[in-house]
Amino acid sequence: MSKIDDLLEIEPFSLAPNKKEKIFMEAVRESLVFHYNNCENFRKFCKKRGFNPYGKYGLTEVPFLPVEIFKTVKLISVKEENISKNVFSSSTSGNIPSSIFLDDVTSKRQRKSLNKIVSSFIGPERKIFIIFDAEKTITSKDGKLSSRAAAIRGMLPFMKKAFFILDENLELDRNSLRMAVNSVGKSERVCFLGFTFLFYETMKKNANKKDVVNLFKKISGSYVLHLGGWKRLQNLKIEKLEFNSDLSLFLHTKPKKVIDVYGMTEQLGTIYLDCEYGYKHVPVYSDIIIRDIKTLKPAKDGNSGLIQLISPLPNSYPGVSIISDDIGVIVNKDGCKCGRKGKFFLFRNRAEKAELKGCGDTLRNGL
Amino acid sequence: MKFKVLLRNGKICDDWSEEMDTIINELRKRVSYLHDLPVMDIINFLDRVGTFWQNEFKKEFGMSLNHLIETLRKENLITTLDTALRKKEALDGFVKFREESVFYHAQPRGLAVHWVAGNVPLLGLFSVFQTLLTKNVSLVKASSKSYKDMVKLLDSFSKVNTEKIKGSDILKSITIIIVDRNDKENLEKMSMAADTRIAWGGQEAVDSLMILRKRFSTVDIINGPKYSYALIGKEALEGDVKKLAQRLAVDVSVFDQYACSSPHTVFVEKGGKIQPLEFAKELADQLSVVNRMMLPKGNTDPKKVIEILELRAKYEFSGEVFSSENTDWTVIYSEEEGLAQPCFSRVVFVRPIKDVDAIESYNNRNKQTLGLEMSLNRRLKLADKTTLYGVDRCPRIGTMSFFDSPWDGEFALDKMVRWVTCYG
Repeated sequence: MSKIDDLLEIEPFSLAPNKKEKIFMEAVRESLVFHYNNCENFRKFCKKRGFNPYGKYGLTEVPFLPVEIFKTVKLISVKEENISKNVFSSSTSGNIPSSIFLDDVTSKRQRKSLNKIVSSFIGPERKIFIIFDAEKTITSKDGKLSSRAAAIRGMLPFMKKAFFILDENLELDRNSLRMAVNSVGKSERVCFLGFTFLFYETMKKNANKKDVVNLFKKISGSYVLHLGGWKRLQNLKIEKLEFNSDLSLFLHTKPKKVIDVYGMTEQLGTIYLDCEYGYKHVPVYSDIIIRDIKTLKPAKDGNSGLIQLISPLPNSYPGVSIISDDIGVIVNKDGCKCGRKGKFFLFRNRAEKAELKGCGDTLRNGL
Repeated sequence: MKFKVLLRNGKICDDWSEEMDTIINELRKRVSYLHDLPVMDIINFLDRVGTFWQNEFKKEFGMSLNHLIETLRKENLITTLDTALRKKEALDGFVKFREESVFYHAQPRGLAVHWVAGNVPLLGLFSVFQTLLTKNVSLVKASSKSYKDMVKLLDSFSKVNTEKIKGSDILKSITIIIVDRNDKENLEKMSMAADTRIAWGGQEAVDSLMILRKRFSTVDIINGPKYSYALIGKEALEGDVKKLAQRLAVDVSVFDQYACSSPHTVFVEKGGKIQPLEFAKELADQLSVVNRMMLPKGNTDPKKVIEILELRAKYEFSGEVFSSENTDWTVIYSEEEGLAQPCFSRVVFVRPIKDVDAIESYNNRNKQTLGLEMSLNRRLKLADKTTLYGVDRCPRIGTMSFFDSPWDGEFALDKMVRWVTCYG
């Protein structure tokens, strides 16, 4: 069995940092060596950076690829015929979506990781999922899958039944909602799932509509998993605490059951969920390093910087170590009150596009 | 809508005001004061300001102040004025040029309104100097993001006196304000009051100015969005390459490439003593030296950091990248043809070129400065050929970002005056 498979046998939040370090590093090394040998571009990249995956190095020395590179360069570490899915990002940070090529090995690892991580937060038992999205969203076209679809599909193992309550125009479909609510038995557990901005939009349009509010009242105490889309809320100056509070009122649940899910299309499977204390937890299957914006060196805990994500799970593409345009801060390496072991952090914001206003501004008419 | 007043009547302030008309009238009253000052007195005063800045602000502003100080040197001001106006004395009264019976006088247009870009606020000062030299009063609309340096430097006029000019008096000819971009009423008032509209800015800023109404007699001096690049001929590689690379590194670093005159692409002619790739390495070394010793780079915003990292990664697959450990500077070498899309923030693309005449096709009116380093003969020939459809300046490497006259294809000093004739 590979080191990566070994890693996936461990419970996601069961290891203290000193216990995790060696096991995780072995898996990362295995992954880096694999991509070095199987992806020419990655090999070139490592060589240019003077990095030898066979050599001696620590986690902070592993070179990182910017997430944006997946938009412009096709990066694959397996034969094309082994690619089973092409996941493309929601493209909120630019015009070109990232394109990630998945083989069965990667998908299997991602499913396993996702199951274990999510179970730690909402429990392992299957639930009725009420999804704030349209059913057509999850359909794949010519083997291509949007990251929204991939995220929803990733939750399938937790679904006893799934109800999509938005119509094709992403407006609330009352009939679907009614049907979903009526299907919930007394002892049954419910989980709301959807993209952050769709929750926000639906809530904004329906928070004052009594019939809608009353329907949600019938199913109280549910978990809410909302994913991605903070950039749009950031633009609207919506604060996370305010959003959680409003959404919990709208869906008749407790704010601590509203869980923000952070993750990257470029590293599906290793996601970071908020615990009841509002911190995002790093599972044993991945790690994050906060890089100082000026020096790009690891920032001290408590200092904010760019979030670098490291995961040995990707097999079909060299997404082992990536740096995002998200700003975050590590709260501590261990010791969250929620009881989960390992590093926990806060997502601060997504970096805004650099504004150029001077006479050297990019020319609209091109070069 | 209220607007913020930062400098008025020779004094720094931090007031909100609704009195745009009053401010404009106050300034207009100063036109006759400036008109009556002999131009040599103004030149002497500005020269003294340069010395004052050299002594007082050199440490604080570093090398970025050098060029401003250099511009204010008496000899430079005299030459610049004489070149633009033929005789600087025309600013003081009627003078003869060639014709025996015709007298010419350069009267100030009156009120110059400046729209200054946020990312290179010090560039706006060049225009303020020019308006003073031509005896115009100035209303400066500063950027809300970066006005402090400009206000600080101009306010220091009040600490400089010559035998003929009291700094606090001449400072009354300049008012600095911040007006919200949505305050159409005040922006239009400024535009309608302007005898000269001067803009430093990107496309958006220039477009928003162009839609404002103005009087038919108002003259526009628009320093809009432009692209600049450099070309190094093979004979230039025979000499001190290290020095040449250092001069180029200064051009790249001085405004972090946010000025229209900053080079983004550097073509290096093949067949020289050293290969273009070697020159790229030398440039990288010199960018490091300049960053360490002369022009330390400030903070880079996170999005730009990611953009730079992405570019580096992309070219690590297909070219050569030489860079700092952080994102302070980057040299990207590739064998691509044509001009690179600018990234800004000290990211420079080095490309080999076999036939230097090929650059002719890269030029249009969006190109401003072409830094040229080759023999004078070749330089003049190439400059003539390549500037037919674009490029307004062909300085030597190391002086690309030196503001000079003409700029953007015109003598701004000449546009700031109204030529009047009288006959003998």
